[in-house]
Amino acid sequence: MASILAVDDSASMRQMVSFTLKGAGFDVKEACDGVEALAEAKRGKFDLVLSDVNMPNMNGIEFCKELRQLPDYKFTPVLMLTTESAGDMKMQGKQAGATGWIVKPFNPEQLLSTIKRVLG
Amino acid sequence: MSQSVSIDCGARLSIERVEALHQEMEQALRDARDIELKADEVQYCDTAGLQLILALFRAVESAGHSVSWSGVSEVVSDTASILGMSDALTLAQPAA
Amino acid sequence: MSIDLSQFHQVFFEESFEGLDVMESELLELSPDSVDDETVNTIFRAAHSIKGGAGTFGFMQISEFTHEVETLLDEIRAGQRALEQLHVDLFLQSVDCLRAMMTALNEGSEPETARADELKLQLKAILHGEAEAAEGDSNDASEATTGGSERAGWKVRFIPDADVLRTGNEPFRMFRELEGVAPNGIKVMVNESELPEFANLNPEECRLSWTITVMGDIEQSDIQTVFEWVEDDCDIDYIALDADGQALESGAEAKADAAEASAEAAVAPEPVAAPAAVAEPANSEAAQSESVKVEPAKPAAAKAEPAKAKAKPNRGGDQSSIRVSIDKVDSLINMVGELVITQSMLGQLGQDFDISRMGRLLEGLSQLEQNTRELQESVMKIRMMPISFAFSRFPRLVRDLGNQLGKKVNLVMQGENTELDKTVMEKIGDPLVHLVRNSLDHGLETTAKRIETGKDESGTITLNAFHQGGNIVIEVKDDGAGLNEERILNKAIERGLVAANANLTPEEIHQLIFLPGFSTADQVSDISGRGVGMDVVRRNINELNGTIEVKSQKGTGSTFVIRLPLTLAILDGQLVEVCNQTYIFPLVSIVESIQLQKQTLNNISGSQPVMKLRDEYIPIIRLDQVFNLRPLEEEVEEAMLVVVEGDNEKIGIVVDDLLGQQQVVIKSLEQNYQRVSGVSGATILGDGTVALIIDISGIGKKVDGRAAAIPGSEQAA
Repeated sequence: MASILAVDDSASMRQMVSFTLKGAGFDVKEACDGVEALAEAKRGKFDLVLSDVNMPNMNGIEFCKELRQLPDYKFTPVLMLTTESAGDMKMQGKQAGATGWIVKPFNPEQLLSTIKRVLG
Repeated sequence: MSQSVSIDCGARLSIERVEALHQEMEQALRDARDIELKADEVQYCDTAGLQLILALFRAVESAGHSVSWSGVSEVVSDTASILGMSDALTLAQPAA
Repeated sequence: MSIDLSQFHQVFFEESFEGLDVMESELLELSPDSVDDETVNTIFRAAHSIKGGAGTFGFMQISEFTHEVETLLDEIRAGQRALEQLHVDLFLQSVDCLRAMMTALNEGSEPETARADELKLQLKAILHGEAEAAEGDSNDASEATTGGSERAGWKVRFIPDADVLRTGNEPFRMFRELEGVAPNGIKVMVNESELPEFANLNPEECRLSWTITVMGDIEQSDIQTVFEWVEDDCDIDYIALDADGQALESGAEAKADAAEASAEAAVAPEPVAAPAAVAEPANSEAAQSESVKVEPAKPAAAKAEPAKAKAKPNRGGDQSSIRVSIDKVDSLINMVGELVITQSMLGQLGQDFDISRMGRLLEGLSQLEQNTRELQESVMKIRMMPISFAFSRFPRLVRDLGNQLGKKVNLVMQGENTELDKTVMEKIGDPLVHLVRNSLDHGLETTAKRIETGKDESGTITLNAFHQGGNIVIEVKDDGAGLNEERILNKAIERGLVAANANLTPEEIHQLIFLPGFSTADQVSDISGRGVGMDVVRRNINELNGTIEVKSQKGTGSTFVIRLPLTLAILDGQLVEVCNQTYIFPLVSIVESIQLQKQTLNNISGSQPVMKLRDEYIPIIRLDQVFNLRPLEEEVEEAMLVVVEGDNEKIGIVVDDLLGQQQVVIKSLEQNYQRVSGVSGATILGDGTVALIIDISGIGKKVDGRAAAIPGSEQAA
């Protein structure tokens, strides 16, 4: 089954995302900021990365740029979890190499239907 | 110079492998006349993979040779169909 | 698939309360004169997370309100708007408001939104100012795009950017998704005209394009959703088709941009409420600050609550949780590992033990002792939290109070990383607040007075915490006028708390402020009045087995020193013996122990036995009588008098003998049996016997004969 790396500094969001994805049969690893996520990405191979944008230590945009430098993640889908008020974040995300975004707030159903666009 | 060469598409006919496949195919184009594509074990295939095959078809055809499939997995025919490439790749449309 | 989101609520509330604390403390750092980007960023991030979570978990009141806060923060963060003090104040009020709303939600009740609505209006007024008109117009755009009625499908020309595949956007997935939303399916045609020669092909780049016919009448926005991640980089045309597959009138061909504009307009806040808000701030700032002050009752109530809410979120039972750093857990696991090794070593030794291996056994046992001690320390550490959790509310409190009293105050906090038990921390919060309020209100002089006496015009309050010999010491210090000894003494005499001719040292006078019913403020002020005196502070601290004293110097200030045990689970105890039974006194409450003359003891009888100890008379109680261990008339050979202090009163307790001092683990009687007055708990001694721990202030009450009946109390009275 596909494995997914979920990155968010909010524990409740992380739990919700992780619970939803696990329920749908995915393998999920969690990380709470870009630094941790990058280390986690190097340790394993993920088929999809979901990352929040606003995080301490290393934000989602920087993380995405760093991730794209890793040979294993050159083409891996990366979705940013963003909000509508952060309009230019979408562009910044794309420029950093993100595949797309999921607009917060989203519910579990929306999450699952959206990741179908990049997995399976 | 051999008469025909077989290229194995492997399990993934997708973007992370197209660079390597592209080189292998260029070599085959130089060495051989006809090319046989083995794609019965492909479990995942994407636009980049099929685009490469399409370009190969065009190259071989323009040289007057032929490309043929020796086994095609369902994933390959399905993906080609949804991308509208079945005809161009001489693949049968899967039953709807 | 349906997932019950309520299971994540608890975590959401916990992290949101933490986020609000962060916002508050960072906001207090923020001043319009020097705006630190990272501070603004941190505040923004906290607000952002709260909004995101609230939206996700269905708390729309929270997310809508936070949206306004976040938007204003974002503008400040992006440098589009200069920070004003007004903004900081508004943010702080918003934090209070959010905290109150979330506390209500956490308790399962509907939050009060009046305050939020009011603040929202103020925020919107700042944000939108005159921009209202523009908003109204853009709203119409969405209707314009829905054109022809006889639409039967769409033709979509999709010319991807060469890089589209590299970022993981897959045309075949988009088409498949489109197939899912199209009522009558889709037809895909690939266009390979741009495909280069094989040798020139960069196989990672997309050189194909497509024409997709979507059959059936669906909204353009449904198709656009599929391409939303790539529409900025790729060429996408949408052509509406009629039933014959012909393009409808050219006007129907809408570029992505136009539709996007309408999508954004839909997100914009409803303009209905806004005009009212514009009018209000225009009236002047005075109007605004007034609207804040008019109802002090509500914000005050809101402020008091969140502290409790944080201490024990009570949704779904008592789910109080604690965050423990991974390091602490890891060290615990290490120690358990060592314990297991020791245990297996001892186990092996025991299987065929002979006396020649005594040395090994002793070695193993001492290793076991070490493991146990380390394990105990580590487990205790899990409950330890830095005192900054208790200190964190003070910057705000001092700021608000200072403003209210018109005093300039600097708050200095030291030793914020000093750790203490979580339960102790929760219980020390209120007494600390009281002390700080007291220092601000009574301790510090007015600015005018300070200038007059040649002091710095802003007063300083220092909170300091440090460890000292197994205790934590917390100091609350002010550089104010010091305690007014004359006034304190007069008041105490007036209240009949001390004799009119009493000759007291300055130190003794200072301690009078802790007596019940003592209040120095000439009039009960709003700040530290509230009917709670220093006696209550002292009682609360005594209940934690702690002590409080005050040091004061006229003209230079006062310092309150609180000493607390690091944990409530372990007590430093003095073991005493009465009729071959062992009892335990908390070491902290013992003043002195003296040998008692037989005669003295025998004379102690009657309703209120007292004994003169140096200058003062102290009540005497016999533990053997309290616990009904020995008939009153029976001879006591030798006895000790332990002088203890509890609830501001010294009492002498007669025991047979003093045994050793040791740390004991407190076991609750309430949980295991029932509450017994005069006893605060029990412990198990090394030899396996149970010893009762004496509740000093509880037993002191028996001296007055007012105590609730316990076995043997008739005899003691």
